[in-house]
Amino acid sequence: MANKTNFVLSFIFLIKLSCSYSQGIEEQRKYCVKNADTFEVSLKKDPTIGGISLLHHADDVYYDLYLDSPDYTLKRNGYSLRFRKRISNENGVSYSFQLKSEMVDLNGVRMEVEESDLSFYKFLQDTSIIHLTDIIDPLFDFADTKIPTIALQKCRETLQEWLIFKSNAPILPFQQLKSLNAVLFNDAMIGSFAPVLVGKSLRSRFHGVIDPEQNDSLYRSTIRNQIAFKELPKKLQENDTLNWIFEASLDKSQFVPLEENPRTIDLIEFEVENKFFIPERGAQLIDSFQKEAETKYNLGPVTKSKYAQAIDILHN
Amino acid sequence: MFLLRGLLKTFLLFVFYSTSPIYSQVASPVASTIPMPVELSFYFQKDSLVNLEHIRSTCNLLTDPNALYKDGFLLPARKKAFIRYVKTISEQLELAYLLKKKIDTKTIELVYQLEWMRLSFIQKAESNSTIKLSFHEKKQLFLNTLKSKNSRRIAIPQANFSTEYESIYSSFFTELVDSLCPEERFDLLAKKKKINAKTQMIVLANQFSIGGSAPKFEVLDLDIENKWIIKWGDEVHTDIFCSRLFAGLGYDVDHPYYYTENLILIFDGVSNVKTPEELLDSLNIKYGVNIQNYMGKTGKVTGEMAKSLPSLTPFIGKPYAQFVECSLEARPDRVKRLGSFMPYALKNDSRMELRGSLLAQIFIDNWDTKEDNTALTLVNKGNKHYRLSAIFSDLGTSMGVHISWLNQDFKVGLVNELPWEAVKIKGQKLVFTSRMNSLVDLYKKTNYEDLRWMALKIAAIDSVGLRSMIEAAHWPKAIGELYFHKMASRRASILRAFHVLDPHPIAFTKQLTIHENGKCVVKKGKLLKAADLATYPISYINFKGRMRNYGK
Repeated sequence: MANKTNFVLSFIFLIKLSCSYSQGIEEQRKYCVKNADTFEVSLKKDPTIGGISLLHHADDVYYDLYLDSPDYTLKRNGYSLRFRKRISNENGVSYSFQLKSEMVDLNGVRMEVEESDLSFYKFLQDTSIIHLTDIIDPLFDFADTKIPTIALQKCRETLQEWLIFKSNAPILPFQQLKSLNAVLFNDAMIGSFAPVLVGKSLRSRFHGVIDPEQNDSLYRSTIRNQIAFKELPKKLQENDTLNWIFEASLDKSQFVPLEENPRTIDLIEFEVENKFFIPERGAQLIDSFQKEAETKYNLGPVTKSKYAQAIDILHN
Repeated sequence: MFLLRGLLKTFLLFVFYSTSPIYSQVASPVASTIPMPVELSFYFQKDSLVNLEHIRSTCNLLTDPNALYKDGFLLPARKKAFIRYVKTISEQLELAYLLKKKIDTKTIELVYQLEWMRLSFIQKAESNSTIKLSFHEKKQLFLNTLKSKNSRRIAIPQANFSTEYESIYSSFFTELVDSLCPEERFDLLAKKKKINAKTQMIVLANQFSIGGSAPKFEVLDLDIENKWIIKWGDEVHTDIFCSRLFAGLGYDVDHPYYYTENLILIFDGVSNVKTPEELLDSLNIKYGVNIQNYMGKTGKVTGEMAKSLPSLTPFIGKPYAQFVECSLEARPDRVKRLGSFMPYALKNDSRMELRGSLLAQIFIDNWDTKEDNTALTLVNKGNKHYRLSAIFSDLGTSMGVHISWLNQDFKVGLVNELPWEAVKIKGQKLVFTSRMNSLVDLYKKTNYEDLRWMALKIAAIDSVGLRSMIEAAHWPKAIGELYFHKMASRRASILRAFHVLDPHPIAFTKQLTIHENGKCVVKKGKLLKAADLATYPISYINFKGRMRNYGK
């Protein structure tokens, strides 16, 4: 009877936890990497760490455009707000608008909410109707060119007009900010946000899986991840013997402030994001992975977001 | 209570809009050129531009996950597809505002959809919060049931009435594909929703679904993408038949399918229901119904089973159950359900295709016609394109219903209880024989012409169509045959009453007699006790049913 009650309670807990996850909480761990190239080569040579195999599946390019108020209210309050453009061989080009919180501690839980599809957002530039993505594209390009142009300035102004106009619109990052602090993040504050930093990241992506051929005992002792088939990455849809635990990525990023002759900031990070349907079990498996990875590759845990790190470097 | 609440809401809306300065300034010039439901006028300004503030207020309510309550009611979870659809509408309206576009039919349609979703979303919140019906509400449903039999009368117009109808195309309410045979429409709808009811289904135990009085349990496809609901009891056959019939008449519906041992339910350990025994016990506690008679083979999946059905391989050693019979209703990932389709709002009660559905309800003798048994759904058409569709849901409380006043229980699918005639002509009036527990507002406004429009749809069902719908329901052979004759007779009574020339007369006899294995099972149009074999999990004669809890 007691067992039954415990099971029911833990089931309710899991349901609640999985609900909160789906509403915008991710469990992420970040590590600074001393030498990215050596680390990448090592991963390819010996991809099993702590019983988990890293399956390299994509090399993507990310552009991030961070927004903040002139006095960095978002950063000071532990948030980062960005437009992201992702170029992937697998899925082509996609855009999103994301709000993330800083990690509170090393347990890696972060709030993340996003508008995952910007394709239907349009605005007026002068008298022409223009897609939002066409407004932010030239700003992303600055990460490569680092040359401010008149067209870029025009898009910057249009984006600011969009922010002012949309401050009360049904856009999830804005709704979330108001929910977090309605007084601070009022319409005027959101309307004061402007692009401050743009970055480009080369991201090597890996699925963290338990492969029965590499670790049969762990495979047998771990319940299968209950994820809808369509939610599974393509590679794992094709190979249903692998049990998906987490996603990992190695980012080589360069950030520049949106100004003339910008200073560049280079960051290299390895990230792991829990994807297991029972988050605690996923976290346990990531713990084992982390323990071995720290010893083997001298990885150091990081809590600050790339945005916070870059702004700190710029301000010091 | 919800009916009263609906009435009150409509009244308050009327009072508000008719006294609101915005309405009086705006609606008159607008309404004079483009007619629209009164609820929509609030979305426009006096200069006929869209009212951005009001649009944002609605869209924020519908999309903001942090908005948990409205007027004290806990709002339902918002599905991703729903949020996305609201935002695409919102963006089109915001652009119309920026471009200073004057009111036109396109903006009205966008605003209509937005307001429809808002009303339905709030209705769902209110409905979810009603744990139990009050004594007064139960009394009202009881009185409706009592009053409706043989008392609903429609006057036959004395003057010439229109017999020509404009083709009604309403993308939200009907799936009228006149070129398609009525019996083929159900499968077409299912195909559009990517419902794949395979001959052999393997499903995983998930959780108890909420509401209703019929025992049911939610399960998942093997790809954990689509949900299904297994149902047992007296609605197994009726729901399947009536959903196909309504689809045949042009409406969107739920999609139940009949299964026997070709459905294997696996208890893979993820659900809190871990064994067939636990399922039985829990259903008994939750619904007060013992489905023991429906249980077929149970045990643990073996290697032998996996050899003949390879998709069972990952579940070797896990408990499973098969059933003597059940219905499996699709809850596809492509279809998101909101609340009711709001029969009393947005001028829906002026729609002939909705008012006419009263005759369809009468045709199947549906008792439970509450607003909660309608649903507004959002259907993914693929490539992130969606459309709203109103569906008639839970049509199984039909095809011969017995309501016990003393025990407060009821039973459906009692073929002997289904009258041979759906409608009778008494003098200058038509009298309907069905009982209904609720007469939603739009049915109160239904007139002869609306019903005649539906009679023409009913006329399109021919012998082949009716037979195929009855076969899909898998009644025991003699009972299916008796239903065929009764429905043919009911159809004929409808066509006769509405002076519709029958394009496909279906032969029937009220004196139907059937022998099975040398035993008379149907005599002179009546199912005999002898047919009530012990092999059926439920009696088709015995009145003892389940408690009426009106879906709560």
